[in-house]
Amino acid sequence: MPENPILCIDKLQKTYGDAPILKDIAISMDPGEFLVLVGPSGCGKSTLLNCISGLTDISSGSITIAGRDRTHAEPADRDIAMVFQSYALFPNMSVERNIGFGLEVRKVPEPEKKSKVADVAKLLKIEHLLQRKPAELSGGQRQRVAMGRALVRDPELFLFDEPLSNLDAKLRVSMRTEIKRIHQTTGASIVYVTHDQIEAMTLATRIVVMKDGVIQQIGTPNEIYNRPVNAFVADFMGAPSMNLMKGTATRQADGIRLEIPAPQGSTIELTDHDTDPDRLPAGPAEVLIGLRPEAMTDRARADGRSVQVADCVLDVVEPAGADTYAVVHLGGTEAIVRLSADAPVAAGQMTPIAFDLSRISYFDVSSGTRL
Amino acid sequence: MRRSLLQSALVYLCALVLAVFTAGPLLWLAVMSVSMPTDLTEVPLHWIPSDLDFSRYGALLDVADGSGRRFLSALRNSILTAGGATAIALLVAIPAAYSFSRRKASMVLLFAFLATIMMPPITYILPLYSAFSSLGLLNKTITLVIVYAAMLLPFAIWLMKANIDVLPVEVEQAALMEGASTAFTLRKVVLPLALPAIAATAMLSFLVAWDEFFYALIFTNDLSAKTLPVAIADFAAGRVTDYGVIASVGVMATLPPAILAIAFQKFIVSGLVAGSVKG
Repeated sequence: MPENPILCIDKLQKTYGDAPILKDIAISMDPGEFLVLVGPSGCGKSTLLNCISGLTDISSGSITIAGRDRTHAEPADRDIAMVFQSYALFPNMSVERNIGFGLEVRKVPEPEKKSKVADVAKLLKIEHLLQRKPAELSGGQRQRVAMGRALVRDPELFLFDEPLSNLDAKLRVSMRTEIKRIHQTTGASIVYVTHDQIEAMTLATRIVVMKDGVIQQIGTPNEIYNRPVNAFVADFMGAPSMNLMKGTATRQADGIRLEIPAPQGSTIELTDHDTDPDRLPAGPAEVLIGLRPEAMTDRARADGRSVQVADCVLDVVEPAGADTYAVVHLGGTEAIVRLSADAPVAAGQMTPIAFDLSRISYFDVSSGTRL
Repeated sequence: MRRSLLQSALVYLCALVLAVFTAGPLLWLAVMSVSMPTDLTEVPLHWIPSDLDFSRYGALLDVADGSGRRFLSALRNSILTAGGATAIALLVAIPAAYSFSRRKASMVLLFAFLATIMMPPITYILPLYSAFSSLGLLNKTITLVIVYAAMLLPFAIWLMKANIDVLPVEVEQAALMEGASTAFTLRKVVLPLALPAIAATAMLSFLVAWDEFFYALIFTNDLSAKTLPVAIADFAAGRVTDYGVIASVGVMATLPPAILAIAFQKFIVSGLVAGSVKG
């Protein structure tokens, strides 16, 4: 637990009627953190954000913002600002009044309000749009205005509810960079909801992965990516996602011997020297072996002592510019391997694939939890 | 898709029938009001007046004239009554509709309001009459304002609620997050967005109050409070009935709401479709 969390959620429950939406949520967030809530639709991430904002009442538990208990406080009394997915600009007001709305409500003197709005407009590069109405703006410009309205009050905590999902793909990438830049320059504390795991990876200082109203894992993007706590997180985060192959693991004196079934009754055999064998059950056991596509590559890119090579049949080859992806049938799944762009490969070919076993994860077959 | 000649002809024919059907009586009313009295009593009827006679309008607008005094005071009473009742209904209906739409006020209450307008007015007349009588409020404009406001409210609340329902709720949430009070949000955010709905509600309320006859007939008995519908009936009930006078009063009584409707036309059209199309 950090010493002075900006946001502390404890034992939060939310039910609609009998249906539990959020179960036992506990999050602690440091000032200046960029916390991203990510998960598939229906996982409760937006509900959790609304609970933090105060727009939704919680069933039990507590919410503390900047050291003060805000569990049952009105949204206006929580010292937070929110950027909505639909922008939620006031269509009858100019951009300038939209941004300055919170200051207008607080009866901030006109000169001070004007200079604050001007500062924020400069930060967001929308100075030239101040006199326009929201209807006269493009999607990206509206998004900037919505952020400006949140930024101008300098609240303790910012909430972003899928702010980029209404933008086209290209604009989404540039606005993502913009949001990151604003976080870096202002040092604001941000809670950000998205269903896009790439947004989560690129923006977050820490990620909260949710599923069915339960937090699966909280960690830095690196932890989430390289050490997922269960098969769901491994599968959800990363694109292409982690390959989860069924195989047999046997503890040996010098490491763990892995047997992964391949097509036509053949088997790929590897030996993992990096993992502590005690983590796995004694005796031969069926496990889910998790390897990212970049840990299964052609020999040209692989190096290091943990790398072992096995021959695999490439089922489909998909060139993607910077890389070439290929599908390999391994351990009952269509595993994706990531090859260099100029790899001389073709579908149906037997190709040596280098497995980087220093990056391996093991999961229980039935529960999916990390071993 | 291009229409064939026959299809076009049919479309125009239907439009013409509809136009004659709806506008015909009004047109005949206008013709009657400028026809010579003899034209109107002859058999068979003269559809086209032999001579134009505008003298009735002159008389109706002349305070010194007997019928002019009756018409002008009724016009004043009608404007005060319908205008006052509409203003009160709107002032109460907007916050009420907001609480039904956004603050989870009980729907049972709304249905109870609506149930009151399902009773025929005749059932209310007796209790209302004795109540107003004991309060000394009979034959007063304020009495009709009270009765009409009560009559308009359920419908106005319902119409406003339907229109507030379709406004994007995030915009109000954003205002709340920014620290605005409900009153501030209602005034600065909701009302500007709901303006077409408010105009439509005001227009419909005004028309209902303007046309009301039954309560006005029972609760008023002289020039100080009688409204136009009652006054028109009085013109028809005289010893010598001049159809032309009744027609010209009718035309004049149509003018204020018609002017209002034209002035608010832009709002009303968008207000009536606001419920059906999102955004």
